Amino acid sequence: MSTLIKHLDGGWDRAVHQEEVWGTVVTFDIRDEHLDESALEVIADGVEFLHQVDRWFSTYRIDTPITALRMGFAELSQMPAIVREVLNRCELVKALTGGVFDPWAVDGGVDPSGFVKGWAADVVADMVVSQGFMNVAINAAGDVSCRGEQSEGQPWVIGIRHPEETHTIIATTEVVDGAIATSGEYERGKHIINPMTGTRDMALRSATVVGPDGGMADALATALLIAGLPGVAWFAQLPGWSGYLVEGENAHFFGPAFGPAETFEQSNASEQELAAC
Amino acid sequence: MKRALFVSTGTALGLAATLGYAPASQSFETTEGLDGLGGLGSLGTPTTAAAVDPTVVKPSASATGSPTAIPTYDPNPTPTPVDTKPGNGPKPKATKPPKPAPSSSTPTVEPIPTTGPVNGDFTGVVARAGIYGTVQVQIRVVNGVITDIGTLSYPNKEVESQQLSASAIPLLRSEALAAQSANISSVSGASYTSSAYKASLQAAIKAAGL
Repeated sequence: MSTLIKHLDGGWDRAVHQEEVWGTVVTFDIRDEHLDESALEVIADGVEFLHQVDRWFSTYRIDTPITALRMGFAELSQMPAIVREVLNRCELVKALTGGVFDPWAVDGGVDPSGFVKGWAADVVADMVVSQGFMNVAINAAGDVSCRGEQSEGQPWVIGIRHPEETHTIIATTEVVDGAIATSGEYERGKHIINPMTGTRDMALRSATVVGPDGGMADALATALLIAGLPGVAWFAQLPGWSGYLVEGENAHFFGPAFGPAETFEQSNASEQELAAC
Repeated sequence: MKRALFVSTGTALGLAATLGYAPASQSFETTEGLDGLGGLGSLGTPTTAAAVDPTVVKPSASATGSPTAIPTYDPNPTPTPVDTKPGNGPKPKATKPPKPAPSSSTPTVEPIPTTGPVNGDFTGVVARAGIYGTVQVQIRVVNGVITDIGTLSYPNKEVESQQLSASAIPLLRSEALAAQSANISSVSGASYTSSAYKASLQAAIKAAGL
């Protein structure tokens, strides 16, 4: 159910919703000085899109285009335009990451799931903005797309979870009209494979990226998790992207979202040792 | 999702103010009415802002200095150890081991003092966490401030679900604690049972009279 919260604490109104979809939860959070029930209508539109995404991209259903493609029942040319567009963008990220992110390398045929979640969060966030609601955060099971502010003059503040279940958020960052995504070794059970080795070995404990695009954030976080610090060689070439990588007991972070990295000395100083909880 | 089901009556507003994120009628059951309980903030905009737990340290990477648009990479970094533990004070109470829980129960409500700061442990409702089972939250309150959040039960329906809850529950616990001081709106990283968790948490907060 969607909920309209009026003037909480004398601050902005909020329209919030959590939708169970894709086997997980997607959270809507729309805020402004004044909101009415039209905010709930745009949430309903977003919810419908999320379920449509499932009907296009679920690899767990037999009746989706992506399943037909994976099983060889259909050709790429027979896919809906949006499926082809998403796969094209997956190709782009595959090239950007030197093949580390490779939806074609997994068992069972092409699987763009590592891109779709963040992409869909972006699409929904932009849908909400297009309806005149400028301040929204869409959290698609941990991939968060943010537009506008969470309160007057305050950009959205997003926490980064600790790579293991140890009771802490390891960092926070402000996300201004962009997306944040985290991949962790805790996702090992899911279909993350290092296409270079064919194994499920991860170089990092977790990788968080912040940047202008939700789908890319989703994919880049996974790619960096696999590639480890050498992946920064290509990641740092991407303008507007920031990273927070947890390797062993150390956190390495760089880019505009995570503070200074102007010189190597400062870069070194900006590395934190993770609390060994 | 039918729009006709969206509610914005006074009851719903009271419910909203009480539960914050929680989509009440879908995600949990409770044995008592929840309307007319306005004044409680959601996790993201706490009403207890003046009563920030001093033991909770906001670990903010962005606080290290002014941003730069030039990312650099040091292939041979020399890490500078920084203690990022969230609490320099008392250690958090260990989460109790999971135990089977009924799908619904009456909340355990400790006596609420009529005067003075609230102290004690308060237990939320057993909330259904979708297909993952149930979750029940207990909070510890010291001088009117939540100092610890534990789970009395959490989804344990299947092995897979245990894996989910093992990561999701502590995350949400830290989210709730951090949100008191850091105003975090959301968390990057998976969280599957957030709805039920927050419902039970808010019930515990209500029981504490915070």
